[in-house]
Amino acid sequence: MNEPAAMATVLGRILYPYGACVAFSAALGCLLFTWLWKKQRKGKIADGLLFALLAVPCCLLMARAGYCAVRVDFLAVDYSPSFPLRLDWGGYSLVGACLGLLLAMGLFKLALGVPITDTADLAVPAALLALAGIRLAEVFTTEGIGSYVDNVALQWFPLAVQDTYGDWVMPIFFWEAVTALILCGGLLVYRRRARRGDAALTGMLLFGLMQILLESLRNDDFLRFGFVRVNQLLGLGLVLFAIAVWLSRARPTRTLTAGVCLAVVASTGLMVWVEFALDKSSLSNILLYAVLCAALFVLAALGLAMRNRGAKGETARAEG
Amino acid sequence: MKVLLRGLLILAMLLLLCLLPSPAPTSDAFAESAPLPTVTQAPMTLAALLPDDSAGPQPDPSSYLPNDTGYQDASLSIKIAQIRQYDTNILVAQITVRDASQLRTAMAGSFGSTRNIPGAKLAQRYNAVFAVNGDYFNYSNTGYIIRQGKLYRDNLAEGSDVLLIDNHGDFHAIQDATEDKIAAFTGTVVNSFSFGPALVVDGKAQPITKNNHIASDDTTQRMIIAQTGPLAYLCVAAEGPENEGSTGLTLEQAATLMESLGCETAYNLDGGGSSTMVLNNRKINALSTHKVRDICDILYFATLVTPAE
Repeated sequence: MNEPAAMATVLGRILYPYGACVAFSAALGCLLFTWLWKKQRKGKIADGLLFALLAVPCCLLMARAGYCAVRVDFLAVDYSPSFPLRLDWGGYSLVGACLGLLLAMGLFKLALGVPITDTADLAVPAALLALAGIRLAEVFTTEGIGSYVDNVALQWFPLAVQDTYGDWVMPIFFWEAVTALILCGGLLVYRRRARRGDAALTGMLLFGLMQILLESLRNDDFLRFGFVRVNQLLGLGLVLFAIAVWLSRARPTRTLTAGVCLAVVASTGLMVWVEFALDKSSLSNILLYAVLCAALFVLAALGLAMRNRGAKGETARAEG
Repeated sequence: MKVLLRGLLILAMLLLLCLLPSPAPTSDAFAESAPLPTVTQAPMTLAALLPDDSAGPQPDPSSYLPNDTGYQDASLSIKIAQIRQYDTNILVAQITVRDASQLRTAMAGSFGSTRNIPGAKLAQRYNAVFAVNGDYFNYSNTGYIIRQGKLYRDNLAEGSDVLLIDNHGDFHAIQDATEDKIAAFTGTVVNSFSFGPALVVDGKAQPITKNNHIASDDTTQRMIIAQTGPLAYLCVAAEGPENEGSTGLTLEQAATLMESLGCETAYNLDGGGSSTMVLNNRKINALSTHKVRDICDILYFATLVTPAE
């Protein structure tokens, strides 16, 4: 974990290892999507590459726009007006990248008429693969780290890494990369038997839940509104969206709907309380994170239960 | 043909990504960069430290007094005592330095980053003998921020008090600061803080008005820096209601306290959970608060005495 160092200079422009890894990871994501497009949709490679051609600039530009939007108050005061256009000055938002992916899916639908749901089922695992590489690439920077690890017994990889000052810190970048990779693999297996949209929604649910936890552990240049971490809002948004869609598909009774809503509100409230308590309360952080994990588990169980209920109902209706 | 064309376009876009140095602003993003600390090897004759972002010399561990009561060497004297007023435990650190360059500031990340770290870690990076938290400038976009001689931000909040520390180590509290008042200051500013309010000016406790500060008016933990004379300072850390046996101080009480301690100028810094006083790389204030809040900047005192070779 070090200050970014130049890898090479080409035509007067500095190339960085982080940037090279991001490019490589994005390429892998594009290849995976194209492969899935050809294999699952029996589509043309050219059409798969069209989505990649839309997704890369949309994700990049929206990620940049998202970062600048969150930091606009500071950018207006502390930096020159050209800052948003200087892509090599860093600063990107995962929220923006997700919106960029959604935009790309919308443009893809306009171009080829492919429903967003179908594209999402292929794009989400591909995006997770790309994200895994992008997170791993943070090893070449001073980002992607968490709190200090002072317990000597825990000072070994992958529980801790040394930062540029020789202090041991949590390697959040690595945990996020592994999580994204596992989710990608799981979705690639699951998509074979999933209903339309379920692979994407499952990816959103599980990624959102992990993002809430891992973002809480980050202690670097994370994006925030005051003390609220932007990527936790993203995670919560993805989770709530997935649960809402599954709930509507499950054709629930009023009692079930009320129960699910109550559980979601309670879990969300608990997570918000934990974030405040981590700063203000004298309760141990381990206990607070255990509570957070319990709330996340409830949301996961709720979402997957709604998904499975909807799938069973659909099967029963089809057989009936 | 379509495949080839689209593939080439994607490759071209991906090559652009190689220009990204980091997912967050690097020091290049700000015109005045904040380099990593390097130890300044001062000559053996206790010469002044460089007016930049470099760290001071490593302090001699044997110069620390027992039981966190201070530090003593040829260039720096720190005496720390605990007092009790307003039903609150208060740590008072009396500091005298040989040269103004020993009063320094440091940031957790490059300017513009949102990075915060424990004050003790930041103090350790810069070989601080003693440190206190600053004004947490990265929380808002307002303030008049000069650190180690570099102007980082000139965006005054209306009605705020600003503290200027000049190259002689003297404090100047600019109350209800405006651009004109700042411009009228003719000295060389090395460090400035934008939190406030100014508690004591010219030895007199100041009235606390509603619109001249962002600090809470309630009883809470306080962190205050003050000057008592040439190259002589006080750092005061008052506990808060979250600490066992303490009520905390209002701003009026803090002002009265600082006047009674004989300060010429006293200025309120970020308090509450941010309140951090560090000696020998350990937080020594409000120890009954088990949580340590990460902070973005410190004001610290460095020694001039270089380690024996």
